[in-house]
Order: sequence, then C-alpha cells, then structure tokens
Amino acid sequence: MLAYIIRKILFSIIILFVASFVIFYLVSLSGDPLQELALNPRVSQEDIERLAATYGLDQPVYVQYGIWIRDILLYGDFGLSFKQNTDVNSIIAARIWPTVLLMGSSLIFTLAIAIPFGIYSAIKKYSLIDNIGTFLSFVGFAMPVFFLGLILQLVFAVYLTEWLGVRVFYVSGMSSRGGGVIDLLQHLFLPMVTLSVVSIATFTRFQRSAMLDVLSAEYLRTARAKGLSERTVYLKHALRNALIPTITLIALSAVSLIAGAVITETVFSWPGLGFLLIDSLYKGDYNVARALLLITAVLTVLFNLLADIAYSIVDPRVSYD
Amino acid sequence: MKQSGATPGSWIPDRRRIPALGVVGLGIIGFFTLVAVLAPLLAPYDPSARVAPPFAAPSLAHPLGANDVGNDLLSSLIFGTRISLVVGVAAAVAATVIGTAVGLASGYFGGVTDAVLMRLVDVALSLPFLPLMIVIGVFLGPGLSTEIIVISSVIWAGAARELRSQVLSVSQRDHVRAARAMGAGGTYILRRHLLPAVFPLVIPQFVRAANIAILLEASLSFLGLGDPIKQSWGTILFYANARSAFLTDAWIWWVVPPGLCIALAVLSFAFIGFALEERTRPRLHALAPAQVRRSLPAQGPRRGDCLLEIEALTIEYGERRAVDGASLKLPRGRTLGVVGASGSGKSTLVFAVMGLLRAPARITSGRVLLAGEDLLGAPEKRLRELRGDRVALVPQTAMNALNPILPVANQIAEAIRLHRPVSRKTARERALEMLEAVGIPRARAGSYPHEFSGGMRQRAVIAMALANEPDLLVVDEPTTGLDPRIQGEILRLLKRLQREMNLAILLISHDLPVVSRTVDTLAVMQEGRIVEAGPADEILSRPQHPYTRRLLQAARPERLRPPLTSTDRTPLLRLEGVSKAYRNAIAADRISFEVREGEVVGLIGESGAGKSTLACMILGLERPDAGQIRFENRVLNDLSRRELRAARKRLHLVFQDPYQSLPEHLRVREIVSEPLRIHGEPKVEDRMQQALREVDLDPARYAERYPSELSGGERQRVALARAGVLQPRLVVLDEPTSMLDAGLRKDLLESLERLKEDLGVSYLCITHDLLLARAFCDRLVVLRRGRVVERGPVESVIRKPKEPYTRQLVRAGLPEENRAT
Repeated sequence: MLAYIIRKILFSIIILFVASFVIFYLVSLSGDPLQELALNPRVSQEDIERLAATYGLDQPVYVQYGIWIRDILLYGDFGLSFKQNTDVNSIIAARIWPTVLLMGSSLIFTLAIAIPFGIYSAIKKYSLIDNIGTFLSFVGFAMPVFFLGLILQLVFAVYLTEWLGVRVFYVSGMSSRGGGVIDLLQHLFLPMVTLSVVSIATFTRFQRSAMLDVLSAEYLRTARAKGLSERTVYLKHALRNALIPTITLIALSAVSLIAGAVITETVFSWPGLGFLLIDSLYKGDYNVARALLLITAVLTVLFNLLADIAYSIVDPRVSYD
Repeated sequence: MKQSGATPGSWIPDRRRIPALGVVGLGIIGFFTLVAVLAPLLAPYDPSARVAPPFAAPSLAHPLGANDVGNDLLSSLIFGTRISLVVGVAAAVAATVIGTAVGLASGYFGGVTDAVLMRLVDVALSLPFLPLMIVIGVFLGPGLSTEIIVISSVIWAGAARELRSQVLSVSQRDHVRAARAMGAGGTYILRRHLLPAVFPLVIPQFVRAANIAILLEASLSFLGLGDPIKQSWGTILFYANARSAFLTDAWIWWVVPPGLCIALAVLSFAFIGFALEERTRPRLHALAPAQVRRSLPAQGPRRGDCLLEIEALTIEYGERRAVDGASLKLPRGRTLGVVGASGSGKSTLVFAVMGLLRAPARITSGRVLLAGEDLLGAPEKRLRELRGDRVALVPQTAMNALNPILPVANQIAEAIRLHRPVSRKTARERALEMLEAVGIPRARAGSYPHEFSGGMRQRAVIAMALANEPDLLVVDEPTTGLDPRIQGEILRLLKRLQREMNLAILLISHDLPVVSRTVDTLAVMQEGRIVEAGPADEILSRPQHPYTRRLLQAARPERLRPPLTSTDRTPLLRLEGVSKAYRNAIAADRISFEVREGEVVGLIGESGAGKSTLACMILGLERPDAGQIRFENRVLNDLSRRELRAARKRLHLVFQDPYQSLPEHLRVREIVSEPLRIHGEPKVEDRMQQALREVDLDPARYAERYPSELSGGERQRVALARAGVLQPRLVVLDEPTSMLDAGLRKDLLESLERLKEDLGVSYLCITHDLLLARAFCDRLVVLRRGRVVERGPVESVIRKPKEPYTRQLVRAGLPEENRAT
C-alpha cells in the first residue's frame, strides 16, 4: 500500500512539473511585463534593458522558468509583482484566508445538505420529496453561478433590506470595519450559498444514484434475511457502501469549486484568490497570476491524490498494483 | 424480483414520462434554434444601434426597454440567442469529436498510443482548466473563436476517458473476440462492432457537452472574454453587471431575461440528456420495502406436526401468477428439494417463506406456517425476530451475498448479537467457531469477502445463516457458478451440519441431479404449480408427470451415438508441448493432444485448470510461449496473416456465455451471416437460412430478431449456427452448457450432433459438465493446473479413472456413476 501511495505521489509531482511549465509559458505568451514601461516617454530604452537584465526577462523562456521554479522550490519565493511593487507572497498571503473560508464553508454546507437528501431520495424513490429534489437539482445545474449570485444579491440584500429596514446580508466584500463573527457570517452567507448551489445539485444526484446502486445489491437481502431492521440495513450496510464513491467526488469537485470560486468572488467582490486571479490577469500582473495558477494546480492534484488514498483506505477491495 | 410499477402521483422520473421530459427539452431547444436562425427577421432593431433613451422602460416599441446607452434589449436578447447557441453547439461538437477520436484511438490501439493519450487526459483532467483557459483567452483576446477553443479544450478530456473505457469493455466482449476468431480485420471490427456499440454513447455525451458549453460560455462572457460586438446572453449580463444595472430599476428587464434564457437552454439540454441516459441504461428499480398487501386475514397459531407447512399459496405480480396454489410440507431435520426451470416461481417461494416479499407481489391466498405460526399474517417485527434466528437464508449468489466492506467475521457476529443478548467478544468467538465448523480457519476470519474464493464465500454465508442454530434453512441455488467438485463439498457440508443441528432444509435448484442426491422429498415446479411431489427416490425412479420426465431426461442426456473407437483417422488438430504463462501463473504446461477427423474430444477440468487459455491459443487469439499448434498439419503460429484468415474459415468457436457472445445491435440474420461476409463468401442469404435450420431455428421466425428477443437456449443455438455457417472442419466449444438451465442440455446436444452429422465437423469440447462430456465426447483429456493428467476413451476415463484428481471430478460431476462403483 505504501508503494502504491508513493507511486501516486511521484506521478503527481511529474504532472505538477508539466503543469507549472505550461502555466509559466502561457502567462509569458499573454504579455510582457515591461511593455507598459516602454510606452512611458520618461523611461529610457537603457532603463528598460537594465530592468530586463535585473529580472532575467531578457533570457529565453525556459531559463526564466528555471529561475522561477527554483526560487519557489528552494525559498518559497513567488517573485515580484511589477504592478504593485511588492513581493507576490505577501499579496497572496493576505488573500488566502477569505478563499479558504469561502470554499471550506461551501463544501461543508454542500455535504450537510446533499448527502442526507441524496440518501433519503434513494430510499424514498419517486416520492413527492424525491421528485421535488430531482427537479431542484436540474434547476440548480442549469443556473449560471453568476446569475444566481446577482439574483441573490437583489433578493436578499436589496429587497430584504428594504422590507425589513435592517441589513441582514451584505453583497460585497468580506467584513465591515470592526465587525465580529456575526458580521463575517452576514458577509459570507450569500457568496457561500451561491457557490454551493451547483455542487449541492451534483452531490445530491450522485449520492442518490450511488445509494440506489447499493440498495439493489444482493448483500442487503442477506442483511435483511439476518433479521436486521430496515433502519440498520440502510444505516450500517447500505450507507457505508454508498459513501465510498462520494469520497472521490469530493476531491474531484475541488476543481469545479475553484472555478466557481473565481466567478463567485468576482460577483461578490470577495477579497479572495479567485478575485485576485481575474484582477491580475486583466491588469497584466504576471507573477501574481502565475503563482495563483500554480497554487490551484497544486490544490487540484493534491485533492486527486487525497481521493485515491482515501479510497484505498475506505474500500478494502482496492488493490494496490 | 420483478420491477415495481410507477407510484401513483409521481411526476418526473416515471420511465414512461421520461421521453416526455426529453420532448419538452427538444421543444425548447427547437424554439431557441428557430429564434437564432430567424434573428434578423425577428429582432425589431439593430442590437448595437441607439434607438431609445437610456434606461427606457418597457413600452410597445421596446417590449424589454433599453439599456444605459439606449440599445433595444429585446433585439439584444434575440441576437444573443444566436451567439450563445452557435458558441455552445460549436464547442460541444468540437469537444465531442476530439473526445471521441481520442477515446476510440486509445481504446482500440491500446499499448503505447493508449498510454500516451491517457496521460494527456490525466493531465488535462487534473489541471485547473478554467483559470488556465482564461489566461489563454486573455492571450488570444476576447472573441467567439476564443470562447469555442477555450470551452472545447476544457471538456474534451472527460468525454475521451468515458469513451475509452466503453471501447475497452466492448472489445473485451466475446462477440468481438468471436469476430476476431472468425478472421475479421481491424477495420471490420471497428465498423461493425465497436462504432455501433459506442455510438449510442456519443449522443448523450454531445448533449452533456452542449449543456456544459452553454454554461461555460455564459461564465466566460461574464468574465469579459465574450465578443464585445457579437453579444451573447452572457455578454449582456457582463455589461449589465459592469455598468451597474442594479443601481436602476432596469435590471428586471436587463438581467433577468438573458439569465432565464441561459437557465432554460441548459435545463433543456439536461432534460434531453436525462431522457437519453435513462433509455440507454435503465436502472433496476430499487427494492422498495413496501409491505405486501394481504387479502387474507391473519389466522391464529395452529399446531401442526411439520416445521414448515405451505398451504395453497398463491402469489401474484400484477396479472401474473408467480406461485399458483402451491402446498408443501417439511418435517424437522429433513430436506425438501424444490426443482424447476428458471421462472417457475421457486425464488418467489423462497421470499414468501423468508417474509421478504416486496411490493408489487401480492399474496392472494394460502398460508405459510412455521411451527404452526402463520408467517404471512405476522407483523414485520415478529418476522424480523424469526428471520436469521429460526429461519435462515443462504441466498442465491454467494459471490455477492456478503457486504464487501465489512470483515466476514463481523458480519457473522452481527447476526448473532441481533438475536442473542451476548457480548461483542462472545459473539465474535461464536462467529469464529462457526467459520471453523464450515472449514474456514480462524486466521482467515478477519478477511474481507473479496479475499475469499467462491467456495469459501459460499461456506461463510452458510456459517452466517447457521450462527443462531435455526430450525429451518432455506438454500437458494447453492451450486450455481461453482465447480462440480466445490458443489459436492458444499452439499456434503450442508448434510453434515443438518445432522449435527437437526436442521430442516428447503433446497431450491434448477439442477435436478444435484438436488436428487441431497434431498429426502422432492417437489417439481412448473409455471408456479407443483406438478409432482413425493419421496425423492420414487420420483427419480418413477416420474409420473411428463414435465418431471422431461426434466430428468434433459438433465441426464443420453448418448445419441456410440463413441468412436477407431484410432486410424487423420489428425485435424494437434498440440505439441504447448506452454503459456501469465505474469506469475502458468496457464498451460507442455500440453499435447490431438483431435482427429470426425471426433469429439472433451477437455475437462475445474476452473483455473487452463482450459479457456488453451481455447484462445487454438483460435489464434493468444500466442503460446512454447510448443506448436498444428491445424490440418500446418503450424498455426507460422502462418501468414492471409493463410491464418483462410484457416479460420475451417476453425470455429462457440463461447461460454450466449449473453455476451452475440452482438446486441445486430439481428440474427446479420450475426449468422457475419462469417460469410468476413470471408466474402457467395450465397449469403441461402447459407444463413440453411445454418439456422441446421440448429432447429426457423429462419422465417428468427432471422429478423435481435438477441434480446431470444432465450438463453436460443441464443446458444444462434451462436452454433454462426459457427456452422462456413461449414468448418473443427468447432471449439467453450463451456457450451455452463450458462444454460440444466434442462436445455439435451436440446443443445441434439443440435450439436446434427451439425456433426450433416457437416462432418469435429469438436473440441471444453467443459466441466461431465454429464455433457459423457453423452457427447469420444475421448477425454483431463487438465489440471495447465497440465494433462489423464487421457483416454470416454468410457474408460469415467468408469476407471486412474488419477485421484479424475476420480474426484467424476465423483462430483456424476454422482450416479459413483453409486454404481
């Protein structure tokens, strides 16, 4: 089993190296950090060449990549932001917490709703509640994240505030000046719901069909033949088997969660990494963009790896070769 | 158990209504398409012209009002439909085409191509694609083609992976291997077998891709990657958001309509996809734990002299009577066998006795008494107390009867603690004792079910059923899927435990010979009725009912011709020192034997003996590591591609599982004529019909059917017709009866003999079915762990086996033979 995990990790590292080069190269293609300076009449051609030499920008791409990746691996240094005149690390450090908070709470919120609901839907298949759930899942899938965000902003923040005369939810940013936990939750709630709707729909459908597959399994008949109550049959024998595939989905959904976070943070001006990514791409803040893309790649690969490992622990049938 | 019907009042996933859902989806998409095509005619204004005052409220001239610069919003929406659909569909087409091509190439070529392509897919799937694509988008600059490139590169990989696994599983299927064994080339297989099987998947994949593409298009446009002039729905929203539509009342007609259009379009694609998916892959309905509706009032306990008494029991599924007035008696400590073909109502009877019948089964009359207590009238709580305690079940498929993620001993301990107030430790100790009693050492008790062999799993299930020392044990098809030798062991085990525990056993089977040596009394079931019942010996020696007689004859097929004894015939197939090893296992170890003209050679041995590997090598699907296979005196592995193809006209194969070896997408006519077409033979139609008649299938009735419309026996005969259509000289039969009901042996045997007589073919019959071997083969070759351990004329091998292994096989497979000696 250890060999299995080590092989998985080695493969992940190779993928990450490939990914990091692709990222570096793509971002290099999309523009030259000194281009804007070159348009400035007060900066001379020599100055630009001197700057380029200082930051290694006159080197071929693969050399630049080598320096970049070496600094990251050896010193954890993501380089400088030419736009903001500070190092990338401190810019990102300030933005990590909001994103972790948003994605983490969204994942918990999703699982807390989707798993029980998916299981219930499978057991009470074709009941009124199951049918309503099916319909809502379809709508949830179909709703573009940003549109949902915009509508929630209007309904909960604008109209609800007008109606109550008190502001319950905020539509922008992460906290008011001097706000406490309550204030944070007031800011967090709408972006979290927005980000969760699609994954709730996905997870509910998935959990439902995983449970249905298990419910027709032969071993449940054996369990009933032992004299177990329906409750024990479902909760002990069916549920554990039905949760195994969900573990994989959790990890794989990290990818779509990241994509969703980019949009959600943009809609709600949430001061997280997704918002920063879009911002840095449009402003041409190349090193920030590279760092963020690399972090997302690491997270994605890490989640995939965790899924594999978790799977091999939970399911005794997985073989390690 | 049969599928349950629709619950009244359900309004979405009822299977009959699913197409309706698809039609709704198609309708909406159709409407959008129409709007997109006719946009210039429908839109009242140029969407980029200033035709109204900024933020104009809806009016007759501008039904959706105007935006901040005075563009007519309805016109924007109509043209937006065009852009959104074009981008969505174009991206979906691109992604599906790339994904299909990669999936097919990867699955079909395998090897290096597969490895390279799949690593590419892995990388693609584990990259944060959306952000990365935004980078590309920024580099390429906003625009429609940017969006199409970005979207299709995000979604192709998923499609590729799914198609590859489909192609892989199809090309492993027997019907593709059969085509290959017939001499079909790569392009033929791709065209006739792989594409038709994979194509139905491409359509739902496209629908799903379109669904995702429209959503992604909206997201990308919303992030500003859309074409600023050719505005899609998403672009309209981008401008609405960027220009703070929310500060005004205009949002209602500026934001909501494009948002709803996106949601509606995606929803429609999802509906279509859902309808397609449910159609191609109908899931079995879950076993809803609904109570059985009883039309009889519960009756009080009654003292009976028998442990189990079934009185005039009738159970219906809708209109169909699964059990029809059945009455049975089983005293303590005795064994009652219920025998019948599949569909005779045996399994329904089992569920009734266990109190496990589920809706829509209805008990319309009769009683089931256990020690005088009416089980049908008992409340669920009482049934639960009895189940696993007084009545225990050994379910049909032991392979799947244990929970895969719990250790075996825990599952037994659970059964004990459920009915006995004992500690965890005591229960575990008792579980270990039970496992030992069925012959599983204590050291293996902590294993998971998949770590057990089929026979061990069957034993573990028996240990679990007997853990609480029940009075009645219901055993449902205990031997299906097991080797004869293991079958014998399991039945002897049951007998021993029965003596030790004074158990009453209700044994259900379709295999009359297997049951007959184990039971005291026998009941024969046909279409829900018990047509004959009585002491087993009596029924076996003097069957009264014609159905019983048929069952007996079918199960114990008589020889139709005396065995060949002359040895001077020319050898047709000759194996010389053939060896083959897989990774660690030796599948064939210096095997030599021959099949002569007009002869039937039986290759016997239990599973794992290497029989199937040998068949594959003879047909050229695998190459031996060492040794020679000669067919018509030419070495098969030395033949050129062309010569091999020619040889395959005279060498054919019938696979084990008729449910896998026939391609489901072809009609019987096409299946049977396939070998003729592969080899470009003339008179296809005539010869196809002739081949069908040869196996007793009327071409007028069968030629146009699909395999799904045939029974197992008919399927196997179609496979036989396909093997015989080219008038081959040798047919290799790989376990031809193992997937058939015992009763069908005789029919198949007759077809085989007839083919032999009419065409003069020889057979190599690979089997573990000794009844078939004795009635059909001239000589036997006994295989054990890849080695030939014994060979000789059929009579002498069966009557006077020299090797202990052969003796074991004969004793297990031919119990009467054993009695005689």
